[in-house]
Amino acid sequence: MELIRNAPRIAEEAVALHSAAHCPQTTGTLILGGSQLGLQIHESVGHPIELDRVLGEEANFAGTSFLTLDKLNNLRYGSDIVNVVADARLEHGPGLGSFAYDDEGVPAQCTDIIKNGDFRGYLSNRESAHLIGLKRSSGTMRTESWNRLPIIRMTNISLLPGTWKLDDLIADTDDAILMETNRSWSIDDRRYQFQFSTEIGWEIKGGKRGRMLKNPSYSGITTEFWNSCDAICGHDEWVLWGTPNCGKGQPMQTMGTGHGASPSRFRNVRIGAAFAK
Amino acid sequence: MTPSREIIKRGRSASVATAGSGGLLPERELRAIIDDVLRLAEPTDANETEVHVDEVDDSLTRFANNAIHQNVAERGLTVSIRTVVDGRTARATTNRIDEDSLRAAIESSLSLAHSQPKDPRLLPMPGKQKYRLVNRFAEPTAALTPEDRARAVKRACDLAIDEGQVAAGIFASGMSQSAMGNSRGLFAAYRETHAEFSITMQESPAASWAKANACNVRDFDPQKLAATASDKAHRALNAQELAPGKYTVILEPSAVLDVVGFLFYDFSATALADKRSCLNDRMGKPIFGKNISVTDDAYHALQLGAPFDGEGIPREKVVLVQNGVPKNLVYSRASAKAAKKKPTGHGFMLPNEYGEAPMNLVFNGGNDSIEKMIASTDRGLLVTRLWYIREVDPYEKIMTGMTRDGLFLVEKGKLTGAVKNFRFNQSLLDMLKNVEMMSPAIRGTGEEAFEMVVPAMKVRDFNFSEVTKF
Repeated sequence: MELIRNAPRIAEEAVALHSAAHCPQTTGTLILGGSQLGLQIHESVGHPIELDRVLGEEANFAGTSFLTLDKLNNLRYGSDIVNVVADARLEHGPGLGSFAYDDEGVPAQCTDIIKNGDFRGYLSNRESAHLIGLKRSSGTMRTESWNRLPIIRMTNISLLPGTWKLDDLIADTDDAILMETNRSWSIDDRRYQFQFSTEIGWEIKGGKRGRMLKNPSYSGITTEFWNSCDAICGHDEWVLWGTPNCGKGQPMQTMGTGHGASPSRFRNVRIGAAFAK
Repeated sequence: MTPSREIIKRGRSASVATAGSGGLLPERELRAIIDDVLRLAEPTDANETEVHVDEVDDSLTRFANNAIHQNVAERGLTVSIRTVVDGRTARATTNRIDEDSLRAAIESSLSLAHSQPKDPRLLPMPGKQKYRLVNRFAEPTAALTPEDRARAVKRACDLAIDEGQVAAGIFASGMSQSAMGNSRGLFAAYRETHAEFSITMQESPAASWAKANACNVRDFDPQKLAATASDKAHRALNAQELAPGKYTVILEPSAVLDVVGFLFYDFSATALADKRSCLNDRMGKPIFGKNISVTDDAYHALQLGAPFDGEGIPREKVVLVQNGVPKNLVYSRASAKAAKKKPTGHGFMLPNEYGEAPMNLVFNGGNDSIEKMIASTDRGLLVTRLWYIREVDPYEKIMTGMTRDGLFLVEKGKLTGAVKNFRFNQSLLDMLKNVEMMSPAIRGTGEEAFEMVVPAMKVRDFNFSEVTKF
């Protein structure tokens, strides 16, 4: 995490934000930093693929999912370059969703969730796997502690790296806003419509990083957003981020989940609606 | 040191998950645990010691797809020990109450305290206090069995099946108690029962929801809640899409509660001192409508919770907002001393970063029914509840979130149909300036804020920024 190395930069940015321009309201190109994209994955891919939500078991609390069973192998979730896996195996990395066995004793696995943009898989358990034609659970039953029932949980839900370098991606972008580090997050109970705001943003003009922007926000519809992805940075900038406080279940359970991501570019995104008067 | 007979009798572990019902320990046993910890801490280098003992006996029946899919019960007891050494303090917690475990927790607390920096705001622990009696233990709740809950759930599911709907929800009940004491002679104890029924009725693709929470399970009727959710789910079918924009909204009490709940942490004196409150530079100014008055009142008949705070200070009734003007803050002992005020009994257990907060909110409310609000509205929206609410701007208090489980169009004084859910981005300061009508306040409950005594509100110019797909 290199907290000490990053501290001076963060301090300078915090001071500079006081006099930064307000993020404009527009529809345009968005480049997301990896950590914000990690939470985007969590909310708009990780939760809707939980099969217990799909089957109605969370209907009263966390909600359901737009990914009804008819959509499996029958939905363009994202653009061709979008590949998402649920990978609990240690070789995926030391993530908050890494383990050897889940809490039903099923070995950690890697499951394709989105393959070249197509919706391919859910998170399942031993009870529900057969409903989607699986011969065994995808190994995602996790419990907060000894005194809570295991429920289907995200493992490491990761967007696989692409081929770009961030500097090249910025140089390739004529007009955009780059946003980094989550500040607030919200999505509907079926996981279609989301809005995120971040701590900091920058204008990208003519392939260069320009002035700093405060109060950046963006919003959209899950499948439209992922289908607008046209560039994903590569391994060098891919980090297995984590969400340490995912709440689900009654009684409520808190769980850590992992989300590998690298900076990525999205087109035609609504920007700045959070502060629209 | 010889173990006390009470400890030996209590055995080694105080936390079990069970499938059956049980009862709480008598108060004298909690006092005995506290006395034992204080005795064990006496020969150590702790200058002061504070002990919290918390016991729960909670059960929850969860249902979905018109059947129970989870029934859990839990009994547990924790002992949390805070020691002070030379101006440093720390806390350690155990769920084992044999003498060795209590001694180990004391040692952990001391070890942690030694490794802390000195806290210049740390005050000597308070001595003995006087508390108002509150009776929040209802035998019908304590006596509720898994079979009772299952019967109520079956009736709700039968209704769903009869209506061609799918029910999901919970029926939870339980009891808890907290006792605390310290080496300066303070002792406080409180026990309560609590019950909650929450139901979502789904008539695909629509859904609606109803929920209640009370000390006494007889204060709500699960069947009525199920009928309300069922009726609204049916009426939520064929939702039309409206353009985002500013609408007059009629917010049911749960919708009000879940969004305004985010405002009241800003009434913490520590939040103002830290300059993280929206009330900085706004205290004493008319920032809300004149019809808004809010009190924090732990003794209100519809409230639950202990009559003392995390340091054992008696909770006081505090007028937070009077006729639209924020009048008073709440104080812990430390923030009161810093501000040269009297503590109000709203501090959290020490050590903590947040200081204090009002936890027993009571809105004044009004005299208008929701039906009257609808009848008075030419064009607007009736909102059942709000969901996934997060803060966008902490000073202007702009909140975002979604409508959920029943959004209905009001035209010319009548409900005329269902509407697809909206995202809102709305300043709470503006919202509470724009309240046109209020119902009498009830004990409201939601999912994003704690329970409070809150009315339904008719609010003009509520800002919906985007629409979702359902």
